[in-house]
Amino acid sequence: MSEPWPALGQVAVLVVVLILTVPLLGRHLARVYTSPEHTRVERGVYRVLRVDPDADQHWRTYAVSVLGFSLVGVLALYALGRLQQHLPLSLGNGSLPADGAWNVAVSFVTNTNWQWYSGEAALGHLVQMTGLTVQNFVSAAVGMAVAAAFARGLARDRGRGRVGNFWTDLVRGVLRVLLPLAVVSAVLLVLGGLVQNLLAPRAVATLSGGVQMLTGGPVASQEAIKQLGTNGGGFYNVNSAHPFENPTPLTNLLAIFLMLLVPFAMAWAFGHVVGDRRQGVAVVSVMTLLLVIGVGLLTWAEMAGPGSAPALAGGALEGKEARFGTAGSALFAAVTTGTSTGAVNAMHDSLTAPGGGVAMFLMMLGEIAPGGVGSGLYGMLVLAVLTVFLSGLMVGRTPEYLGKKVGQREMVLVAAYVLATPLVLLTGIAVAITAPAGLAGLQESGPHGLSEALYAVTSASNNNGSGFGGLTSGTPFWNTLLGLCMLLGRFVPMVVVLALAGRFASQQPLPPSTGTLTTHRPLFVTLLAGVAVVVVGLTYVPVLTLGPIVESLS
Amino acid sequence: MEVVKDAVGACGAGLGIGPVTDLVLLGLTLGVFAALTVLTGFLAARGDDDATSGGGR
Repeated sequence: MSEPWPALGQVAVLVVVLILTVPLLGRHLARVYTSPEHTRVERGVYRVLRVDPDADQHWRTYAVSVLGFSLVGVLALYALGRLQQHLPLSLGNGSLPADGAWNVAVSFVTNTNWQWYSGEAALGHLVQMTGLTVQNFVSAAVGMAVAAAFARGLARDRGRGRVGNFWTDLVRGVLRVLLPLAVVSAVLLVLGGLVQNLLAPRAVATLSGGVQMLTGGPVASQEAIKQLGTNGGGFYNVNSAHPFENPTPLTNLLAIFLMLLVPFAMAWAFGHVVGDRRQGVAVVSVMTLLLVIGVGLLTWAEMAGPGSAPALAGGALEGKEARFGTAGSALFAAVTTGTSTGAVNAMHDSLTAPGGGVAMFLMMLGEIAPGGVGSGLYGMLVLAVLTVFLSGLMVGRTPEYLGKKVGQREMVLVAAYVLATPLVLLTGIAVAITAPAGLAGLQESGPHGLSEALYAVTSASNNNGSGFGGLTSGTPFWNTLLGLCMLLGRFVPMVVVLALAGRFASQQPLPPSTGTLTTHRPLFVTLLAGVAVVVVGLTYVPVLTLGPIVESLS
Repeated sequence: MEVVKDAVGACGAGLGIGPVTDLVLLGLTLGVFAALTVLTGFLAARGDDDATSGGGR
């Protein structure tokens, strides 16, 4: 087994930095989403958008605003991809094929950032900056806005289905949270050695006498929001394994910290928004518990897992960058799949079979450990509602969460949320492994081949975006299938969550009674984690058995 | 006009499917978002019915 101290040391540093920063950002986020004041810049934006920032929207209006804004984003990004060769700063790259441009557009608008293409060889600076980076900000802000709306729904007293203003939440999320954090992070990343320029590719002579093209670009600025917004789309094809995008173990740790910061802070902010900080701490605790288990299992699998080659080498080294080591790659893999980021600093296809299985399981949990920016929080809160309902059934208590009664209609919405992503995912994998065009993209056959396809569909349906490798996904079949998975996996749950927010907002909170289940104690934290694993995760056991589990046992 | 021609040409040459691909994908996108909007309206209507009748809580 590899030396365990670097693994433990980097986790310790990460924990300390997160403990220091999450409460600060959490308080700031709560102010951002509850303050009635608008800044001068924000008022200017609202005037340009011609929206009333003080209008309190019904959840239906809020949802239609989310959908309309996202549709415009898809169409605009699609046009950029299709017309790239006519645009400046294209670096000589041609336009993307129709299915490829559509996949890119859907991928970045849904905060998935699945990349079928090689970034440095397919996209110019203009598309990277005005298309992808802009969507990195706004798609993240959309997720945060929906989470804020859900928190408001739980906090309000007879709000008549009104959950806030989408445009206000969107603009504030970008201007008050993501943009300032991204600027600071980008400067830190540049100091850490990341590239930041607008130069054309440069030919350099190699030591062996050959010629290599080195592509620069606005890498640090994209890297900052890529991690902060749990986006994950890399400037370079190999993402955070590229030395220009992630040059040192220090930038690797910084990237991991950035992935975790906002999702945890959103959960912390939730406690402030509902007026009971203990609720936020409880949600953070569940997220942490699931993530720690995931990191522990994945690190074990990569450092001391099965296989004679890893045993001889002191760890599974294939597909990993020597500068990060096994521990740095395992931690990154667990965090990127737990947070819905999808950045990679190692080849996930080369993870050990149990390691790859853990990465897939973290995504299959619904991206709640701690999940995407915003999506992690609302995913966990829906499961919290499910947990109080199941607990109520077990002990005969009236199911209520934060004083809001959980009735039949609420449970129908919760069930719809819990079933939506598995339905998309399992339908997607069924189509992928039965269609000849789907099978044609696989590099391997047998359990590992299934894992390649399963990982891709799981990543798309849960809006993660990381690739397993081994799969040739840049084909019309895979681009279209994964694009559909991304769209449905992102927006069906969002609409259901907003409907649930509207129902809770309409209710008058019930005062706590002796029959009320407390939702901030360790017992509830354990129950919620158990529900997440049993109800959500175990949906996928049959397909995991045929893929990574069989491979682990063989 | 040149831009449109290039876009259509690239589509046909790149995929071998023909210039209809852009229209199909545009239709698919609009169809998915239209379905999501219908879902929103359906859930809102059910919620409103429930609020009017006083049922569900």
